[in-house]
Amino acid sequence: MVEINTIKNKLKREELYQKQKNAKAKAKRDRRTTLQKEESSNPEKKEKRLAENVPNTLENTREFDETIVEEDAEVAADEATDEFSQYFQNGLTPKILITTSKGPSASVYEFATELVDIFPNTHFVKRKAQFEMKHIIEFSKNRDFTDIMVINEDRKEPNGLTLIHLPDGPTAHFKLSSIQLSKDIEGHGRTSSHKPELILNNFNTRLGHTIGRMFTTLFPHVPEFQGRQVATLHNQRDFIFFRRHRYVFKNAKRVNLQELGPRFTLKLKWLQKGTFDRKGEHEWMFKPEMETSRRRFFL
Amino acid sequence: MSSQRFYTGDEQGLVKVVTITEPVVVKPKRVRRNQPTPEALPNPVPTVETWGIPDREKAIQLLCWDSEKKHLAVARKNGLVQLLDPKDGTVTTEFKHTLGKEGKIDTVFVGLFASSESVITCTSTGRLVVQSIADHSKTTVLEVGKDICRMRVHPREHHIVATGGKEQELTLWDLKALIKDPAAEEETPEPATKKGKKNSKKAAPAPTPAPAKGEPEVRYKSKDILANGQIFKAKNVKNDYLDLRVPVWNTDLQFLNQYDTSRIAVGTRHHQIRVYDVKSGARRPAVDAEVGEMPVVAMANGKDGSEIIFSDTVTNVYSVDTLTGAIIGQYKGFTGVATALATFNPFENDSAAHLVTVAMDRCLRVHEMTKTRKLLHKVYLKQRMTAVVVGEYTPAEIAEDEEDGVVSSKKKRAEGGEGDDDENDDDLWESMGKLEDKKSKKRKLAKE
Repeated sequence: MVEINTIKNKLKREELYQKQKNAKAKAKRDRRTTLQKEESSNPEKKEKRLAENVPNTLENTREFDETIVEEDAEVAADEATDEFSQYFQNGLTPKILITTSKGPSASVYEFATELVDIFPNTHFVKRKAQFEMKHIIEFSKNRDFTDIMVINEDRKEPNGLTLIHLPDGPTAHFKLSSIQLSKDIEGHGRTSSHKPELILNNFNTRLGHTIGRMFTTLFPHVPEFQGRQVATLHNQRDFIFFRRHRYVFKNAKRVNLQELGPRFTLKLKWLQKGTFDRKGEHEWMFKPEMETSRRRFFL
Repeated sequence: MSSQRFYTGDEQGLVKVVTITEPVVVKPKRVRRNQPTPEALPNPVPTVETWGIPDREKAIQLLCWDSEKKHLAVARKNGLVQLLDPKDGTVTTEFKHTLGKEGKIDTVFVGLFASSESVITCTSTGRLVVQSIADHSKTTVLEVGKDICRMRVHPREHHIVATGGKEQELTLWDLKALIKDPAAEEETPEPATKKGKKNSKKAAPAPTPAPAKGEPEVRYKSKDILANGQIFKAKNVKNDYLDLRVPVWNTDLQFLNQYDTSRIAVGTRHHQIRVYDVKSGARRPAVDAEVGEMPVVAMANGKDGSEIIFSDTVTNVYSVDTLTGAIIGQYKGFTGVATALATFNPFENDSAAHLVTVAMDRCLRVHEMTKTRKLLHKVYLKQRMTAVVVGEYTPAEIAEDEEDGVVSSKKKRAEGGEGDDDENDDDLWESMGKLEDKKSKKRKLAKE
């Protein structure tokens, strides 16, 4: 067999190359057709092939993390008595205060309106410049709020979300990006005031558990299923994607999804013990130096 | 295999005993050309033993050894102070203190020390209690001022106590003088302060307060300011460039010298590291340096008092030179605030000390205190950690050493068997590598 790229005549080289290429394509085609024939007669074989053929992704080749929570009595005991136990154990209904950074712009108000729509039992309060966060936290505690959400902005665009769980914390700060309001989503549905169902995906590590529990406490315990609304927080590579849909039942077997919006993406920047304090102790904090590999995830 | 133990305390009230086993150091034997290189042994997994039942009310706030390292003293959130047996964690003695609340803030323990006779505790409200271990009813309660953030007892002179806090300057107390005083005060209530002071001067024996009592004290007129039992009280630094008073908020302190009480390092909430020199007679710090941007959380002594290691609220751990106040370096690898630090010498003869830390990210870490500041071990402990102390070091067993050919041959030599000499010599020659000077190596490479 002559190496094609050593042939000096261009026409000859092209001809041989084309031949080789066709032969390869034919072999592939043949292989596939035989496989198809085999599998059509034997569907188990196809299932087996599909089950075995899992491509490598960053997620399924992630670096080993010892903090991933599996059945563990100690962690369970820790979570049973943590700051969220009022919600999980005693069935406290969430009551959320949404506010903004000082001097907000129009786009922040728009986003805040969407947030009010997502979470049942929320109250939007216009931020007054004379009140600092520690004052607002005290006021909210006195008024039995369970959570505070503060939207931060930069260049007139929302860029950060701070979640404060009351009364004892913790406080989490997220980077906020890729916001698409409901009206910008094509074919979006109208929302109803039903309590939505909540889906949390891939909050696996100990830190992820805390964050997942924090999001859970924002929604009421029992959703109103007749509203058919579902809010999803999907964690992939430490980015938390928010989506909201409505189930559209076609028949007894088929169900479609209609997106309600908004869409936005959160990324955890820090988690602080206790309510917000600029000088408080950070339970976890993102630093660029922690990004040692593309396969290292924290949530 | 040698192993090192650590005892940690966490928010669930569990004491965990972490045993880190050092991997066997195998001396690389000469490998023949065709032999496969021996695979390195995998690092042994640290073992964790847990004492206690999870209970947030019993959250551990402080841990320390008693002065003879026979018991582990534990201060808990509900006011319980216990002495544990370090072998199996059984409670040998326990005392109950009432902590209560001050406004909405819980009172916490800010200092714990145990000697063989007594346990000294201090709460954030400034209640310093000296509790006798043998006689439970024998307690002495002293008030050292409110909003105390840290109390530490000198590791050698157990009657010297240092306190500092929010608007509480660093103060050195002499317990011997303090405990004797009340009787004198009771007799004559009115001029008590003066008399008490005299008494305290007489009562205070020579060891450390001597320099403070000498000439410099008179020069700085600190005589009038020192209250009962105080040896030293720091003075706030000079006003800033706007002539405004600099706020005081000491968060942690450390005695820099094991043998005397002259040098004390203090970390503040306003991210300063200050070093006070008690002997010099000056009440202001000898070194006052701004470090980082966030409050100091915890401090630990580095080697020989020339270095101090502190952690701040944004998960940094720095090493600071106590002579200049400059940051020497940073320990990396933290994702949560390091809540407690401790240094130790892992091997008796080894000069490089190690730093052990526990953090809010639920991990215990061991760093090397060399120039590289390498992270040696990281152990996930499942709880937000609050305290750590260094336990005993178990050296490698001799039996294991004997497996090593080199050691055994050395031993034989030491025994002085003459007949083996030639054999030993051969061994020796074989164990040596072939020397080549750099130049010839380079030449060889060039030829190739």
